[in-house]
Amino acid sequence: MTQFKMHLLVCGGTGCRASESEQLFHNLKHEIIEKGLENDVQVITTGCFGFCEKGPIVKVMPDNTFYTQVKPEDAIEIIAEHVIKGRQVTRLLYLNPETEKHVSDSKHMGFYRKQLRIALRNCGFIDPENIEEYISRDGYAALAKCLTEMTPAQVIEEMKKSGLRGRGGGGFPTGLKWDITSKSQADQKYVVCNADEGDPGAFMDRSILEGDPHSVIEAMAICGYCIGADKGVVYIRAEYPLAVERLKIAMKQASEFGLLGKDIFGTGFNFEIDIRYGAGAFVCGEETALIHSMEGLRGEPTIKPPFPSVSGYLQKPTNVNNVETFANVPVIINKGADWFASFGSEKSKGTKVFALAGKINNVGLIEVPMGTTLRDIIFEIGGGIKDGKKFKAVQTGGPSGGCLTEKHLDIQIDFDSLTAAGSMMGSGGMIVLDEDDCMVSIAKFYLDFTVEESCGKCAPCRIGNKRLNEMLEKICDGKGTMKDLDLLRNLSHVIKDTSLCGLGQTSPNPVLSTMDNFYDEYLAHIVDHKCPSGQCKALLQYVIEAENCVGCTACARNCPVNAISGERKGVHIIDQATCIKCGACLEKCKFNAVFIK
Amino acid sequence: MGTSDSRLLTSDNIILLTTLLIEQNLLLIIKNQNQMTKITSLADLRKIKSDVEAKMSLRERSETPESMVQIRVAMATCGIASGAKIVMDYMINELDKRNIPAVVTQTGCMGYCYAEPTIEVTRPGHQPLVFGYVDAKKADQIIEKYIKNGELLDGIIPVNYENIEGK
Repeated sequence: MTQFKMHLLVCGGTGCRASESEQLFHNLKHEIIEKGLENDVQVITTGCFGFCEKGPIVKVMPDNTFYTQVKPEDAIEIIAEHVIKGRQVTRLLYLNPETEKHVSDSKHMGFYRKQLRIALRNCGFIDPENIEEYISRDGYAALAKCLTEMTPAQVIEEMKKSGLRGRGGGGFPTGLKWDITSKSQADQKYVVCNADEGDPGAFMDRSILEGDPHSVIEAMAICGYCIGADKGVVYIRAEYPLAVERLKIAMKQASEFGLLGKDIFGTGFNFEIDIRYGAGAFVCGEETALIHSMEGLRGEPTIKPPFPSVSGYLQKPTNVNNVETFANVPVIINKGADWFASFGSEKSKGTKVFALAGKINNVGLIEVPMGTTLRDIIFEIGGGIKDGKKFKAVQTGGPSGGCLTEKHLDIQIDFDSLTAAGSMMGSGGMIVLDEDDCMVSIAKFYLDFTVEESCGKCAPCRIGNKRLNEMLEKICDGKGTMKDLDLLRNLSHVIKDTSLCGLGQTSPNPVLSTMDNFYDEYLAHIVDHKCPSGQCKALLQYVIEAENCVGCTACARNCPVNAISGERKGVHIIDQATCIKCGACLEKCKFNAVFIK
Repeated sequence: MGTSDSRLLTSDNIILLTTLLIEQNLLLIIKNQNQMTKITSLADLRKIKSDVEAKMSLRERSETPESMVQIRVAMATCGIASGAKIVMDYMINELDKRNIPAVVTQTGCMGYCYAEPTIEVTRPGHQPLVFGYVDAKKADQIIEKYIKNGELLDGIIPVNYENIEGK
């Protein structure tokens, strides 16, 4: 039986493979066999380390040595020096640019890890259905501290000092919201957790509720203590059955432990939580629409003021916060506002969770300090663009956000910088687009969504978005005119300025930002009747190159609509009027004779 | 703050209370009233914390060979959809059949959506390792190669984030 004494971990991420990590892997293996160490030392490839800029990476276990920018020829030295003689190869260690010292142990390599998990601290770590595991990670200690050592005013002050802003998209200062609600006079107040998560590309709220439901329960109780509410309601979409189930289990356990209910920690503070289910409407993420839906009414927004903090659920003062916002609260209380405020940018403190999706290698849920650059998120943590394609844009903020391009890659993202760049933070969806994506189609895709999700209460959103969508469809079909472009822009601004709620006020963003950043593509569709990325079917033609066609008849036999004619061993022709642009001919041709024009 | 008993009798609250009773099952509520673990003070909370910590560290850090392997399976909706439940059942059954003392628990999303299902394996005295794209075949390899012999498998996912502990 083999028991390896040492392991060499070679990064097999896309970035590192591009810089010859595979050759390095083979060289290391070869050297080990050469030196007769194959029963003592094992070499394996790993997933992406998220440090592609300094790849290829080799990590040695168990001593945790972390080598960066290792070349295939360095294999000999690593085996001879480190593995056999036990001496680190200093020149390959990471040089800390700040201290100009080599870092030998990956335990001190924290700074390369661009992610810091505050809201996700327990996700993937504790058993979400076991309250004891949450307690062992300082769970409910923040609630205990608030109830037994702090006054509500002190807790609110701490929240204000932390600089925490609403993670649902708006970015409103959480401490200030609590303060306003606490000052409203009423016989009953409510704490509401917005778990509607309508952005189709975001799933951090679901992950938090599924992975760490107690953190939300604890924070809601803290909020209740601050604003003077003894009732909390979680508004969650019914499409999240597992999140609902885990939340229910967590609520039950918290009640059993006396952490929800009457006289919590013997302080006389009472707090209980109830669940309301949403039917999955995008507009119900807007707090007034959410409150109406909770009351059993149609999920339609109303004009603010009055703000929910004055008159909300059942006309009582109501504090609505998003799941991720709540998940940050216990840490702020436990570690202090100053600790929390030490991360992030000047006006946006702490971290933000992003859901990375689209044409990116490491699709997943990440959490980074505010102020991290898009470049770090996409090319380091995300491991770069899939299949070595070229980065084109990233859509942030979901259907209400906008597209950011290469020129935005180095902005340090926070609430304000994203808005300044013509997009928004939103709930943190990030969809990465590559050279194959057509920006007009992307804008249309999001408009399809908003048209579907508009509640229909106000005309600009209900009718305006529909018209925008029709114009985009016209352009995608190659029937657009230059006048349409002016109309698109004008109508977009009218919708933004006159819509009742956040949905309509932001829905034209994808149109405006793609027009600002990819005007050429709109022109190509309208003037040249071409879709540069070959996505708009109406604008592309499948053509057979006479020189390459050998007359094998494969295309004609596979064409579902018999649009291809030609004799055996003669050149074939596609009848454009009959062609439905399915691409079957392109797929079947072995002689590269079919191409897209 | 604090609900007075008279307010509990409003119609809204009665409906609320009834649904709560149905949902939570009457029996459980009766059982809960006799709960031993009710936390009534900060000291109670700290005691539970230290008890669990002691239990977990015994499980994780012990160097003795008879101590247990700990396996966490990422069981968020996305993980389950990719087959995490099958992997978890497989692990529980196979480790049992092969007489390997282990604790298999579920956890939430680890964030590596591209590599689901993902599991984290901690051998006694070793640092935790995350394996991605785990199916029954890979789970078998993990048991035979890594858990039994400490032999690593290709495709380990390096932890690329910091947690709040060290900060």
